[in-house]
Amino acid sequence: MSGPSRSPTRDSVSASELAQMGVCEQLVLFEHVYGRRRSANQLADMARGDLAHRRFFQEGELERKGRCFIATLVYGEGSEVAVLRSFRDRVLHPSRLGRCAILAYYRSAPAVCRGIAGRPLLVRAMRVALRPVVWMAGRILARGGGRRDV
Amino acid sequence: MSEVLLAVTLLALAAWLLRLWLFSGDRGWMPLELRCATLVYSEQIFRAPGRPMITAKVDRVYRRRDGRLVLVELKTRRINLAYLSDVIELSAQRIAITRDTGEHVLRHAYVVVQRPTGRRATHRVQLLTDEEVVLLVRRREAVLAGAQLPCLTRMEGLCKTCTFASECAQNRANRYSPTT
Repeated sequence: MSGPSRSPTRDSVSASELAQMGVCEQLVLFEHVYGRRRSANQLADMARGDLAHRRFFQEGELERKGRCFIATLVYGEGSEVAVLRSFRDRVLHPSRLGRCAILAYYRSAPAVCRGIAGRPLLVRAMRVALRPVVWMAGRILARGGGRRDV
Repeated sequence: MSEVLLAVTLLALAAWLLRLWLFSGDRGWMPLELRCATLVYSEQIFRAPGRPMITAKVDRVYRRRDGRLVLVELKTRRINLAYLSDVIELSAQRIAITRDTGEHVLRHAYVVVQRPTGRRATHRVQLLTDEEVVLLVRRREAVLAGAQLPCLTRMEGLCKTCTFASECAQNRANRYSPTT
């Protein structure tokens, strides 16, 4: 249980505080007067919510960086992954067909990763198989392929 | 006739497989509108200047290809529903982002409900107008100042788990007492 939340209500209000008005206005008033009270179940729910939000944030960060699943698995965060990301953003992303290819890749790559993860032989084989793809992507980018402003 | 039946069956199977492909996996919860959108903000705080200042921490904001922003809010719940409180929260977030950055945020948003099993479901909600949010802010101020009587929830389940149940019962008894 925390102390009374007699914050300066006229100065600022958060979106989550305002959202409580849609739950119970009497509860909003009680929390303002007496401070927040949480039962053990509510605290457990809040902890579960915090954990889910952290995961959601991490997934978002991964999404923002771009998801080169297979390449990241076989090369780590190296120059090969950077080349493939540039290829995706500059060459594939501007065209409709390219975006379809990205979508199909994002949809199927996690399953491939699950299949080869923990199998060093398969990881090595995938590394060899991807080498010409990375080389080709690098050549296309070096010749000025795709968008320049990314 | 049998060829037509076979074609229809194959089409239905293809549609079902397409749906399965689109709405399963780690991005299965994501609405089609956001699949090709770019994530621009996550866990970021925005402030709408004014009295009172509205502050909001957003879960995720996506930019569509037309440049407009769409809000996404994650909720962990046992029941797969979006509530009025979600709509209010997202509406306040919309005002905070619009006034803080000057960007255009769409009047609809998505509530992603994550259940204890980890499964996620998405609900599209229509947001309140700026005027409605400002009115709600004013009403909150009036309730806290004692100028207006607060409304009670109609959700009985909420009352059963409320930690202020005894104070609320006392309050109700005083409010509806014949002497008052």
